[in-house]
Amino acid sequence: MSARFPEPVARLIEELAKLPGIGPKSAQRLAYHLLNQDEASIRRLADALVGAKQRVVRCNVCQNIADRDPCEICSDTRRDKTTLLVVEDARDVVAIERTAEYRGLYHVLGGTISPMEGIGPEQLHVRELVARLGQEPIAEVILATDPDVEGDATALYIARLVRRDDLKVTRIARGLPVGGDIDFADEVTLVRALEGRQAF
Amino acid sequence: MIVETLSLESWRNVAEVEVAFDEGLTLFTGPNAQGKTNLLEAVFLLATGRSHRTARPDELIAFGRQRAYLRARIRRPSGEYQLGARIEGGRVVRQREGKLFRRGQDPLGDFAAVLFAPEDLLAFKGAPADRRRLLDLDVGQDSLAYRQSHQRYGHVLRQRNALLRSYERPPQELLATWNSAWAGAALALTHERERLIERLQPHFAARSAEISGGPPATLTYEPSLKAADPQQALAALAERREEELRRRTSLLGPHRDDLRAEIGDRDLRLYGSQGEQRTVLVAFKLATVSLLAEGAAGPPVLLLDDVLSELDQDRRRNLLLAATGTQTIVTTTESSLAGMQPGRTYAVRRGEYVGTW
Ligand SMILES: [Zn+2]
Repeated sequence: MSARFPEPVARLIEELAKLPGIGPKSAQRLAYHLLNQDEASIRRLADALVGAKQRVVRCNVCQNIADRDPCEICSDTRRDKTTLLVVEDARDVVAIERTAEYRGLYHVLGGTISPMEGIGPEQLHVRELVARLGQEPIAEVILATDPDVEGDATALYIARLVRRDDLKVTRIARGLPVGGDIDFADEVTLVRALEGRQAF
Repeated sequence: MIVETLSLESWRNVAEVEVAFDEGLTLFTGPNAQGKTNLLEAVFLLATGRSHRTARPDELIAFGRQRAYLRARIRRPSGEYQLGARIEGGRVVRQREGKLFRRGQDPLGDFAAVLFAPEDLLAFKGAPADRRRLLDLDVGQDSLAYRQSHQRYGHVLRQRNALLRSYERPPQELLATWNSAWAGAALALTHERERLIERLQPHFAARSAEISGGPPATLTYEPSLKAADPQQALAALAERREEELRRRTSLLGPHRDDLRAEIGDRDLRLYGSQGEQRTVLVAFKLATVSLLAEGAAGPPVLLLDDVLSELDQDRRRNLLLAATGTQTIVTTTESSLAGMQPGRTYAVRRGEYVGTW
């Protein structure tokens, strides 16, 4: 389809179309929007892209993306080190931090178990979670994966895996809309889901 | 409620058209393959989010177009509202007064449609999947809980089957996880089906006696999973374990449910005459209309897609008489309706609709 565009434009469209949620039509729209900008703003965008990739690291404790390792949250001595909230991805951490209600630590799985997509526990940061539970003074694990089929299954899998007498395992309440995403939920709903968590 | 008008854009062979419906009977006549069914399909999709003819929404979009649009004006006792759908990129997105909702999530469920097409006629003789389709698409509109548990079970089942397909012996803990997910979803849907059929049964008995003039027919649910709680469900599943691992697919649960219709003591899957098959189907559709009418939505729209010519004079008349008081939209290749007077008639030719009333 992009064969009719000049070669540099076609390449730009091709790269943009690889982004999630961007189809060929949107890629064309974006490409022409970008080409209409002055060179300085294009440079700022390019720098932001490269800078983000270069300066962002994975925190080896919680597996979240961060600007240093360990990340700000993991190295904050005022956080409650006995509570661990397990989420699907980095956006969930941002959503829960925004509520300013949760003071414990996080663990980012990097997705959910989904046999249809070939994703099992080995493709997620489950092994790292188990290792943390063996080393850190964690007393409660709160499973906060999305309340959909894969999120529920992942929570169940982890609950069975980490079961231990001295560890409390809870699941956030079903206050979220069915099939709803944690990173889309409003703050009141999130706080209520956290407060209403129940033992697995 | 009543669908007053419907406009279609880039839908199947229709470029752009708006039609108005009578609150009683509306008739669309014309030769085959001119686009009569396309219109009923559109009404059905607005109610259910699905087409009865295809599982691939892109087939609904006119050739050479990117997306199709439907817009309807719905009238209820409490007022009017707009119901719309956009079909694009393999997805159907419906909206009500401009607010989007996903399938199985429509909070009100106040627009329902019962569709009766020729391929339904032998459902009680055909495969169990044909009978489950009657439940899921038509009767299921009665309950949001039903639609949600149906959708959830389908999703869990696809995941569990993917797991069974990807391993000769799935890891123990992973299989246990999906077994538990399956048990919860399977019990929920089995329970919803039990309730739905229990409520449908009296309507079905009454309608079948009315139509045949004989003894009432009965409807019985035959669940694949017979269990009272998750422990029992998992125990039943464990018995099928080796067979499931060998065949690499789920062998127990609502995707294997069946529905039995009987007249006297005769199971119609085995013994029904062609006339009895038709009686039972007409009774089932009318029972569905009565059941839905008891719900929040009030009477559904009855869509009769070219089925009248498949019925004899008596059944045809009985069907139309029984539907009095229900908004009914009929497509037929014939021009008369066994003496019934439609409020509006449209002649359909190559996607054009010419109305007279
Ligand atoms: Zn960290």
